[in-house]
Amino acid sequence: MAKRILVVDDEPDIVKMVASRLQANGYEILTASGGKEGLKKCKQLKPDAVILDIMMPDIDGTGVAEILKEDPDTSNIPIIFLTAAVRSGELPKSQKVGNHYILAKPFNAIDLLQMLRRVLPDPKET
Amino acid sequence: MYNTEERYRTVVETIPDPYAEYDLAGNIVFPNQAFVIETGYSREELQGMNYRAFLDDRNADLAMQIFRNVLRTGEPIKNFELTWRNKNGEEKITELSVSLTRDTRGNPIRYQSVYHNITEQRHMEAALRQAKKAAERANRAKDDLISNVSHELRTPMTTILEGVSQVLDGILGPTTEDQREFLNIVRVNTKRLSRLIDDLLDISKIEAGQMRIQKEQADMVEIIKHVTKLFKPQADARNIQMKANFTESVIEACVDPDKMLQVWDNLVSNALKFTKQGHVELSVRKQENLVICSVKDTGIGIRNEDIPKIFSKFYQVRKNQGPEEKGTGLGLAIARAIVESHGGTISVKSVPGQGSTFTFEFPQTPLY
Repeated sequence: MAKRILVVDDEPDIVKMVASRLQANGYEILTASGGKEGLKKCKQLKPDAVILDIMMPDIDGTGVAEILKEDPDTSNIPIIFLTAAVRSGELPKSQKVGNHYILAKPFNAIDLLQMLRRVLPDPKET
Repeated sequence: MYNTEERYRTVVETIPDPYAEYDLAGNIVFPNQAFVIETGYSREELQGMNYRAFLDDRNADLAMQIFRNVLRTGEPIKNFELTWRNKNGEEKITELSVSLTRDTRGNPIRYQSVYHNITEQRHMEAALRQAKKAAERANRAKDDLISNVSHELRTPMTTILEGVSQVLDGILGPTTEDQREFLNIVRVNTKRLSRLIDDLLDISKIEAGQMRIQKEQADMVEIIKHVTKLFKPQADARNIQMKANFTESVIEACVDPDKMLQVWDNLVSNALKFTKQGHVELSVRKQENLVICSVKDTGIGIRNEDIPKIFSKFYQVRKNQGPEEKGTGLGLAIARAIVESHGGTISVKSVPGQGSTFTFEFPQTPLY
């Protein structure tokens, strides 16, 4: 079964681009246009990973990550932050913030795909 | 006795600071001319007036404490800050000094008090505090503006780059060679815009004094090894040799490693850009408390007249490069700002047609 990835971003064009890229690489895509909707879908649909924007108007990405962590149902879902708030040069070399990975926009598709493979329990199955 | 007192009064009459004498009940028995002017009351009005008349309850209590203390200990109190009001109701801040006078038998008879007006000084201080706060607020607003603008610019950039890349990668179906050529031009130029945004943000942070330098102990040798590895594929592709030189296996310095990496990155990518054949050599050495780093290339070199301008913003020596090669004109200005923020200097020596050597040096341990 294909891994299911939830893409959360308040910019519909970004959601569309990320979704298209991941679908082309065999992932199944769920989408949400904000923090609240993202949380709801995480809880209901239990995606295998979340790609999460940080600056969002309702609940920002770090807030979403905290709430997910507190709920045992969702605390194990890996998160990749995808953010325009920092440039790649400002990110830690480990590309990690706490237990989560972080990637700067504009992102390189290869980096995103590598990172996804790293956070998912098994290499992608299609 | 009378004569002495008369002489004494003549003296205090002429001192520039307000001066008054009170009886032990706190009623004025003598004000000098400066006191009369300062309070706005006439000499007659002041005669017998209680100190409480000038003060609100809180300040009156403070003044009472002072008088009591002076009476109890016999010791003067100096420069005690009090706020009072003159006849027109204007608030004044004063530093009050109080001492005790005694009669010939040593019994206390009066308080002597001198006032030093510090209203303006206090207002000035308050204005300065206000101005400082306003400046800090403005700086924060500027900081917020910079980060908001960068967010707003990077978001559409992401969509453009990723959209074009997906068409180029064939995700949306086959493309012709002509289409790919044009899309590639779009992609390369978008990347250039993206670099320009990052560099502009760096420059505006630097100019707003908001570049954050987080120093830690870092090994400069490790950094040049890392940079050499990073640029090797690019150098190999153009048949240029990358060399790393260091006099010791570890050269530790107190620096911001990410910012230092940015300096190397800017210098090495320049060197590679302007070198058609030969090598690019990175070196680090130590000389007493100085760490001396350099990037030497065998490229086209820089004309003498260009050298003084090369570290200025937006100065580009060659204007006719393709977009892949074209820089932002900010790299060296940023490099200089970073080196200077480490208490160092950066310079260049060059022979046209033979190559250039950029050298930056900074203290191994900060001097402050």
